[in-house]
Amino acid sequence: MTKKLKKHPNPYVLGFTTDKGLLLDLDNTTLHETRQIAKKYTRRFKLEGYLIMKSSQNNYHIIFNRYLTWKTALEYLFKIVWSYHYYEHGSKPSLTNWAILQACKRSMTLRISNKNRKPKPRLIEKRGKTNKLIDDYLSYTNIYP
Amino acid sequence: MPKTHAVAIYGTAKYKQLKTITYTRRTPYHPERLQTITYHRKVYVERERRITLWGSPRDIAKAKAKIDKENWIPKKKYVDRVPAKDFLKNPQKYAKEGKWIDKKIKKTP
Repeated sequence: MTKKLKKHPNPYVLGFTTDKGLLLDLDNTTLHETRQIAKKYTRRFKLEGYLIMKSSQNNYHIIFNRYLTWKTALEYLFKIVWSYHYYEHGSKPSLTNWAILQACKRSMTLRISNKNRKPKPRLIEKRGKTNKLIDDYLSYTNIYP
Repeated sequence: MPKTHAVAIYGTAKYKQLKTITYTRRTPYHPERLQTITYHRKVYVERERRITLWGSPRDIAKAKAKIDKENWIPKKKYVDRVPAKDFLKNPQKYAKEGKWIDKKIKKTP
């Protein structure tokens, strides 16, 4: 018997957008590497805590807790892109593309709903403080049931 | 104090647009002459659209419900920084009537 696919509730995609914090969209990355990145930059930039969401196979989202101004958030984002581009694990072209797009829009966006056949992102790990941006992110994800 | 963020709604929208159609034909009684005919017709087009609604989660949920119920789509390709409260009062300012469709189209720069 063939399994029935659940119908897409919305024909469009919803994304959480902010200009007051740092978000990361990591494509083609393992969970181990994602965890390493989250831990390392939480410590380096004193971001208080992080949340890892799995968007699909080998694709993860990271949300950092501390509120930042847009200028600082962009500075940290491009420092991460720079360090990955030149020093560690080879380049990450998808992260670079995503960072350029966010800079054009003047806000960072991560998906919170279904997209084509992909389900909505699932919570994997929560570490450190979660009282600022992470709480906001989780409250905004409730818009999409 | 909690800070306000936004929700971006993006995808493919279908709406009616005025299109000018022009063609040439030979006149029936004088086939040596060429006649140009121009007329306007409303046709359905499919385009990428994106809107970002700023405000509290409650206001954004209300605005999203309004979009679903009354079939609103953004006026332009990218409508940025729309306050959700403003959208609830006056949606015509930022959006027009159309339908969201679950379809992938080719991206154009």
